[in-house]
Amino acid sequence: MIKHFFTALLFPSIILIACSCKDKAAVDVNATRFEQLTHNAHLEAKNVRYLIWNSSSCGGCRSISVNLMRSNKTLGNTILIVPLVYANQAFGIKKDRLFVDSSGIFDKLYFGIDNIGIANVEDGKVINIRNYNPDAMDSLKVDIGR
Amino acid sequence: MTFGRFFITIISGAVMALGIITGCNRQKRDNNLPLISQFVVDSVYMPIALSDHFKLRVKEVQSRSATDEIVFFVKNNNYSAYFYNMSNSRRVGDTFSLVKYANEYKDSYPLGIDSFMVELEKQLLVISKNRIKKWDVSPITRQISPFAFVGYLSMESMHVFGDTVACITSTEETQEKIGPNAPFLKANYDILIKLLPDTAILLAKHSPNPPYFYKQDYNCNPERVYMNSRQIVYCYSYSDTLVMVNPFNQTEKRVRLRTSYFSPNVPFDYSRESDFKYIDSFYLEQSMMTHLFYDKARHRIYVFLKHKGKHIEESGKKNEMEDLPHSLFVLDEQLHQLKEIYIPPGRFGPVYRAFVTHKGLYLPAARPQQKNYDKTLFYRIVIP
Repeated sequence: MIKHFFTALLFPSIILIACSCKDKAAVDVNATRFEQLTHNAHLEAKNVRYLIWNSSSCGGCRSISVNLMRSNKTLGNTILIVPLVYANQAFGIKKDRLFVDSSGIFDKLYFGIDNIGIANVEDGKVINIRNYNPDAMDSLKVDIGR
Repeated sequence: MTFGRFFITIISGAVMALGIITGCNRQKRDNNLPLISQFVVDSVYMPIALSDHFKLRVKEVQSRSATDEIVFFVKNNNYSAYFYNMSNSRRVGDTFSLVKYANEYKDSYPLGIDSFMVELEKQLLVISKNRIKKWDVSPITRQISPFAFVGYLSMESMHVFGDTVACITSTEETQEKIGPNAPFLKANYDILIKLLPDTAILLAKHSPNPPYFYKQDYNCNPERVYMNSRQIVYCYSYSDTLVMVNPFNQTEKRVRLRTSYFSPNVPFDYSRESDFKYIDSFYLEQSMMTHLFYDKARHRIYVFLKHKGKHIEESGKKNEMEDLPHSLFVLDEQLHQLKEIYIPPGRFGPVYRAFVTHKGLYLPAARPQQKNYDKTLFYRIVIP
């Protein structure tokens, strides 16, 4: 009886749980999706950092991050991706450091950014993608200065 | 032993099937409901860019001619007020700039084809071609309730009935805390103000927030329509019950919608109010009453219910409100439910841009159908 309990109920349950533990896989999926989106948007720089807003990014977070870009001259390899609806808030950013997502390309697929985020690309490969919610703006300031 | 094995296999199969069923968030379509496409009769373009917004609602100007269909709206990007004749696709009269009121602007309401009322934080203005008349309403809003520490008028849709103005008060939150702020909610009132030549007086008030808001549902919104100066109809984000209130004597009528698409909400987890993924999922993955409209010409009330669905699909596609199916309920003025109409996902754009004129209900077309940068396609819907 106990043996059948294990074979029929417990083992499938463990397999199901194991399948749902997919943090590592999720990171890869997000990176693949982001690479696909940058390709669709013809953003194909090999070594670059993207600072990404979406259409529901919080106002204060947008303000903090764009001010960081304006004030920090060392962020030369950072490109700010903004949805069309917030394009006018990115004034003062040089054209070669700004991508206005007028077609909403980066709003169509989920790639791990909920509020605003950073994606680091090296040799054309996404190394990491990090999301920053409104309570993580201090971390953003630290990370973006690196 | 064989029976035991058989029994456990059945039980485990049932458990797994239950898991799959409950894990499937999307409800199946009720095929008995009529489709919205049956009621689409026409389409029009509105002269507003897709990337812009109307400030709150487009409102119809009461016209003497049945053929004219003149609407009034304020653009979000430049605070300009427009009168627009939908019958001949032409602007009517002058454009009024409200930029100087931008910091305190709440809403506007057309009084004719050349004048309109503006609701500011503490004032009501009537603006016509050569004249601006002002009423200070802060003596009313400051004393509306002992909970209103800094009372002012709120950014919700206002209505004008002759010399009576129906609008909403709000207040500053007075304390830093996580979770529902009961004093804040208790200070929100629908108010009816009578405008006299030199002053404004309070006629009646009603607090629309039900007690359960104070405990758990700070993130709910009451939507309302003013049917006349004595009747307000409310719907709440996470309730399938509509409430009709007379603010003069506080009498209420409650009517529950008949539908298989509504299910009670899971209360908002305030410890996660900085988690944007959680917030988006909270709104998208539960059924939710979204918008309420009053069709004065047909004596009908329209209520939109967003069905529950997925925020992020397996493919990674991010859903927005309009990507999920909706129901449109049609009720008469006594809140008798006449119809529930099924709106398939992706058929229309955001419902918050919808508006009603005497010729019907207008819903924006879905984004892929919007081919013009400087104008927006709307479908006209007439429900007999």
